[in-house]
Amino acid sequence: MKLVSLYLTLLRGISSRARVLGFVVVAAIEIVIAILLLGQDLSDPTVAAVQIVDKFGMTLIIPLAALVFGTAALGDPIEDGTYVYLWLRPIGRWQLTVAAYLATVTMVLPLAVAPTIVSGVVVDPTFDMLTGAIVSSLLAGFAYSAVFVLLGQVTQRSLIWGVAYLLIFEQFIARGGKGLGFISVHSHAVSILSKSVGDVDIALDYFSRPVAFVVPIVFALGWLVWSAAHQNRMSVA
Amino acid sequence: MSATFVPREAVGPAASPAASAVAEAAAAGAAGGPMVSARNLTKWFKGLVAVSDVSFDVGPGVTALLGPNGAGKSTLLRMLCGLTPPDMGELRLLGRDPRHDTSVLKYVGLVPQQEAVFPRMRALDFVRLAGTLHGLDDPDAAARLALDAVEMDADDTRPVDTYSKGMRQRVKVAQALVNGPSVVMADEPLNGLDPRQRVRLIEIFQRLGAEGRCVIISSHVLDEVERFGSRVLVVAQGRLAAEGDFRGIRDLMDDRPHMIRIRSDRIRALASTLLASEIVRGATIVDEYTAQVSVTDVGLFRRSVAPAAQHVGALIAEVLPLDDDLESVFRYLVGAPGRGGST
Repeated sequence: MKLVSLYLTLLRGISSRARVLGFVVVAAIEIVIAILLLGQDLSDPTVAAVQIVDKFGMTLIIPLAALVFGTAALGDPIEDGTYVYLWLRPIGRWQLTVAAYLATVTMVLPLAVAPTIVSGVVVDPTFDMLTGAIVSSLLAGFAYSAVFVLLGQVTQRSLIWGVAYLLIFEQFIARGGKGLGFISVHSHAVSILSKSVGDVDIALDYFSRPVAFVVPIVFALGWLVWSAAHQNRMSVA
Repeated sequence: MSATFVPREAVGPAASPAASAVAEAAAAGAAGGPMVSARNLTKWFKGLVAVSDVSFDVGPGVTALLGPNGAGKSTLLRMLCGLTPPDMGELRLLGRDPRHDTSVLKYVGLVPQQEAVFPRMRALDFVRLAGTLHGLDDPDAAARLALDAVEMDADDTRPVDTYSKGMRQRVKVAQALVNGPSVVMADEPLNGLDPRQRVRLIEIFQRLGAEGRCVIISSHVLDEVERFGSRVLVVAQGRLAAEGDFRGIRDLMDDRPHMIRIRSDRIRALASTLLASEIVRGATIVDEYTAQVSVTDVGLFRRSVAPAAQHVGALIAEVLPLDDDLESVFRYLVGAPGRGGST
């Protein structure tokens, strides 16, 4: 009951009309682009579908949604001072992290992950694309959400740090090779997508399916454990 | 409205009807000892000392943390309830460390200073959330009682963030009372309230204290503290400058040297007379019509200044206390070594 109350409170906090409308518009654009692509005479629909899932979904919408909702989940109440009404209670404080993560995922799945899957399948309506888009998008959504929930908790300018992480690390440094790509969410998600549809040649496709599947989950759990542990160490205004 | 404070046994978790919140808290760890105990608490932020080596014990009743803005009251209060850890020293709340034993928070209610409340949330939902997180059996009923106690309409459908400052303050108090806490801490709780609401809230805090609960109120307004009629911890420049009964602090205020400005057409003659009769301890002539005098016994000065002026044929244009504010009292208390301590 306590966890449900925390979840609903944090969900209410992050789901402002402006945020939701903004992502509805972006998601609609993604699907419209997919429909327009469908009308083109594509030589290889699978490549086109991978491109839209990767470039639009896993590079832009999913990390952006996770950034906006994830950093706000704990970051907003910490910043505006309402966190005290949740933190100073006789509860296991790990529940705050879990509730924030669930609230973030609740927003990211319908507003970013689902449109990405739909856009991929619209362009290439095959079972392989469906499963590849589902697994890779979900992994990206879950992993990015964990990263940004933690970031919102431990930093004050989490949006700026988050944008810097996405632009500098995920889009630049992670392309430097398999070693750096190992700690990149994007490279694992892309690897899953590529392998699912038959090894499409695409940047950041470094890892086998088992590795690409397990590593983001382990990292996400690690970020969440860090966040939960930090709950007991933090100062609350 | 005849609302009274919400008794824990009516709504609280796992409480027998006979058991009071205080007895329950005592059984939980504070039996026989102080309800709040601070030992050498020290806190600094980026090299600046916010609270320095503060020690005290607080038991049942109302205790006021009195000090000017920036004195360290809020930091101290945040440490007392576990919101921020001390850099040095030890704190016990009902015999336990609130930073690491969250179960003790079942007996604590905090009214924080910040005004922010959750967006788009009704008062009833806001207070019920607190009740739910405290594990109350019937958080809805507890929330309604707590809102009733602060004279707020539980069925008001407007979001709390659209309320006036005073209404929001009362809702914040309600969420702190919803669990029938043994220890209530409130950071400037009377801010933004109109006089009637202030009286009502002071009554509630006094009743909580009379019930044997530990109520700690921080305030920078001397008159507010006086109305609580409470024990006082005076905090200034991060240190505990004095502690004791409020009347002791008031006496200290009256006994200290006061600086008073006098304007008169015959200021030199008047100052000489006041000095000669030892009504003032010292006098400085500022200009042709103005002097500043140092007075220890303010009552004697008040009674004597007019007759002295009459005696020398002087007309008094102004008698103005220059340091009769709380800041001056704090400066005085902190200024001289050994002046602090129990009053």
